[in-house]
Amino acid sequence: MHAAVAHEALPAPVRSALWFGHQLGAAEVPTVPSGFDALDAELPGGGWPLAGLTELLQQVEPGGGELALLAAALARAAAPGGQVVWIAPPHTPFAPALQALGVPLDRFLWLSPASPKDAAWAAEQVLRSGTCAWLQWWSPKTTPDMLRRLHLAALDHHCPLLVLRPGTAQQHASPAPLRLVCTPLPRRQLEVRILKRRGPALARAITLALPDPVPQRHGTTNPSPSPSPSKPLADADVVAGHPSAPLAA
Amino acid sequence: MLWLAIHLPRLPLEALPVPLDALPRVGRCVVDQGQVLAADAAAQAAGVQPGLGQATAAALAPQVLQCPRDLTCETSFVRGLALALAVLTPHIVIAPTGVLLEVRGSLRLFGGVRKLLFKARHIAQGCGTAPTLGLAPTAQAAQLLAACPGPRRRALAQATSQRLLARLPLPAALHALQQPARVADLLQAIGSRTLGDVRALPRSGLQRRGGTALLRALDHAFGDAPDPRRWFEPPAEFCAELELMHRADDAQRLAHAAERLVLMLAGWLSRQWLAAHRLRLLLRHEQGRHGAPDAELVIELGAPSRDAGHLMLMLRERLQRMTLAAPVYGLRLMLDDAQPCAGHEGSLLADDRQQGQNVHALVDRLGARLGPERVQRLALRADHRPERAYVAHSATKPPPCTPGLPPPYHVARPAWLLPLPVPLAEHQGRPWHGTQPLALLTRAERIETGWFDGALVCRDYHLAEGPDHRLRWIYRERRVQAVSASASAGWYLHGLFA
Repeated sequence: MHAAVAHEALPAPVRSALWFGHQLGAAEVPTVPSGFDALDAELPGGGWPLAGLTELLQQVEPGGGELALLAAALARAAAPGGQVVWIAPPHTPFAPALQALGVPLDRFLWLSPASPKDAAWAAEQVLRSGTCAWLQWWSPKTTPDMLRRLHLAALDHHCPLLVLRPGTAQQHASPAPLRLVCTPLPRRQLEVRILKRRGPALARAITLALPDPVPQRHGTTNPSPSPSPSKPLADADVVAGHPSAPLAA
Repeated sequence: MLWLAIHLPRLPLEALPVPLDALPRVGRCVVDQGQVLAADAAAQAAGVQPGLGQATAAALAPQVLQCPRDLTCETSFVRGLALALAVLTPHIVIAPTGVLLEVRGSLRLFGGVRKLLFKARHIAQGCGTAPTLGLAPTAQAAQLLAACPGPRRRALAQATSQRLLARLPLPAALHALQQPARVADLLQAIGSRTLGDVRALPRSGLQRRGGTALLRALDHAFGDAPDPRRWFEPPAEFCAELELMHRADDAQRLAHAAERLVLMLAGWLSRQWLAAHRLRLLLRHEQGRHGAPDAELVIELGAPSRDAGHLMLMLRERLQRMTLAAPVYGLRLMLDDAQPCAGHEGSLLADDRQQGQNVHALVDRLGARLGPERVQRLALRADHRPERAYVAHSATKPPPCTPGLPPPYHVARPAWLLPLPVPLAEHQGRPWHGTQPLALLTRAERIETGWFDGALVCRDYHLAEGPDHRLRWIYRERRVQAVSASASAGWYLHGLFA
C-alpha cells in the first residue's frame, strides 16, 4: 500500500520508467499492436515498441514464420509514411509476397552490405536520417556495444529497430529491453517465449497461429501424405501462360 | 550594417601549397625582403618569430624551411576563402589580410551572432586557416578589432565599437590601419598610447603630420565618414584547384585536402542558387617518365545538394573505396551539372518535401559507401514466372519502367525467393531437403509460360513442410529434357515462407 502511494507521488518520467516486480511495466515509448492478442497481452505497452531495439531470436534457419509475426506491426508502423528498411536479409525478398504482407514497395529499401561493419554503419545512418519508419536487421554476428549504440540512436530518432539473430544468441547479454525467441510448430503455429521484458519473467511460452498460406488443412497433426505430384493438367489450381506451345518446345 | 572581419594573421604561410605531412618537427617560415613574415608553431618553438631578420633566423634555426612569399598564392587563397564564406552572406569584400562579410541580414537565418561566428570559424578552419574574427558596425572597425590583440573583439552597437576602438594600443592599431612606421613613432613620441589618444588630437595638426590617409582611416573606423567598398564577385564558372606540397597516397589525406575545394563549391553554389548534380574530382598524378594518367572521380547525386557536409561525405566514401595508381600531387574539382535550387523555407513542422530530400540524401550516402548495387528497391512486374515477377534496381537511380499490371495472386507467395532453385533429392516418392523429408501440403499450382521469350518454364508448385516445420515452396520440373539433364528427380526448392 505504501509502495503504491509512493509510486503515485513520483514525477511522471520516473513513474513511467519504474514498475513493480509482479506487474508488467508501462512502455516508455509508443507501441504498435502486433496483431496477435495473446502476444500483445504479454508485451509492455501492448505491442511492439515503436522506438529502440527489439531482438527476435530464431531457433531455426530463416523461414520459420518470423516475417508473418512482424508483418502486421510493420504494415501499421509504415502506414503514416517513412521508409521500411531491411538490412542483410538472408535471401532475396520476393516483391509480390512483400506486397501481400503489407510492405509498401515504393518505400521499401533493401540493403545488402558486404560486411557486418558496413551493415552496422548503414543501420546507424538509416536511424539518424530520421526518415525510417521500420528497420529490420538480420545480424548473425554483432556485439553488445554495437547494439547499445544502435539502440540509443533508435530511441533518439523514434524508429523501431528489429534485430533478427540466431537462437544461439540467447546465451549472450544484450542491451535490448525486449527479447523474444520463436520456434515454428506444426500447422503454421509459432511458439514465442519472452526472454526479457519490462516486467516479471514469463515462464510459459505463447503459441500463436500465424496466417496460413495453405488453403485448407485436414484436422490431423501429422501432415497428410503428399498428394500425387503428377496430376493431370486439368487438376492444377492455376494455369498461367500459354498451355499448348510449351509442350512442343 | 554589421561587419564580420576575418583576419588571417598567418596568411603568407597558410597560402602556400598544402603541407600534408609537412616535416612536423622542422617547421616552416615565410620570408620577404629579408624579414620573417610568418612562422608555424614548430618554427616559433625553434625561436623564429615574425619580424626577425632572415639571416638571424637562418643562424638561429638552420633546419627551419624558409619559403619566399608568394603573392599570387595569397590572392587566390583569400579569394577561395571568400567563395567558401559565400554560404553565410552574399555581401563579401576582399581585404588585404582577410575577408569582410556584411552579416546584418544573416543573423536570424543562422541563429544569432554566436552561431554565425562559430560557422565562419568552422569554414575558415576547413579551408586550412586559423583566423581571428572581429565584429563591428563599420568595416574598418571590424578589421581593427580582428587584427589587434584585445580582450573583446565584438561590438554590435556603434557606441561599444567606438569604446573598444579607443582602447586599442598604438603601434599595432596603426599597423593594422597600414600607416607607415614613421607616423606611429611620431605619435608615440608625443605621448599617444591608444587610438583614442590619437583621435583626441587636433585634426589639422594630425593631418599635417600624419597625412590625410590616417584621418580618413580613423573616420571610417569610428563611423564618422562613409566607407564604400567593392563587393566580391564570384567567377561565372566554378573550377577549383589545389596543389599539394607533398604526395598524398591515402584517402584520409586526400579527403582532408579536398575539403577546401568542397567548401568553395558549396559557397559558389549558394551564391548562384544552384545545387550540384554531378561533380568531377580530378586526381593529378606526377607527370614524367613513370607518370600515370590523371584519375577521375565522378560523383552523381540522386538528389542535388549544396550542403558541404553531405558533398564531403559522398566524396570521402568514394575516395576510401578507390585504389590509387600513383601518389597524387594535385586536386581539381569541377562541376558538370547543377540544377536551380531555391533554398528551403523554414517550417514549423517537418514536411514531406524535406522528408523526401532526406531520403535521397540517405540513399546517396548509403550508395557511396556500400556501392549503388547494394542499395536496392523492388518493383513488381507483370510476369507469372517467380524469378521475373519483380525487378530489383539500384535506389540511387530512377526506377525502371515496368509495363503492365502484375497478375493477381490467388495462391500465397513465399517471402524469401532463392536466387537459384536448389535441386532436391527424391526418396520413396517424396522430395527431401537435405536430411528432411518434405510433405506436400497443397495441390499443384502450374506455372507454364515464357515460350515467347526463350525462358520457358513448365513447373508444378507445391507448398511443403519438413520436420522442422518451416514452410517451403517447391516445384517439380515438367520438361523431360530439363529433368533428364539434372541429377535430381525434377524437384527444386524455390522459396521459403517466413
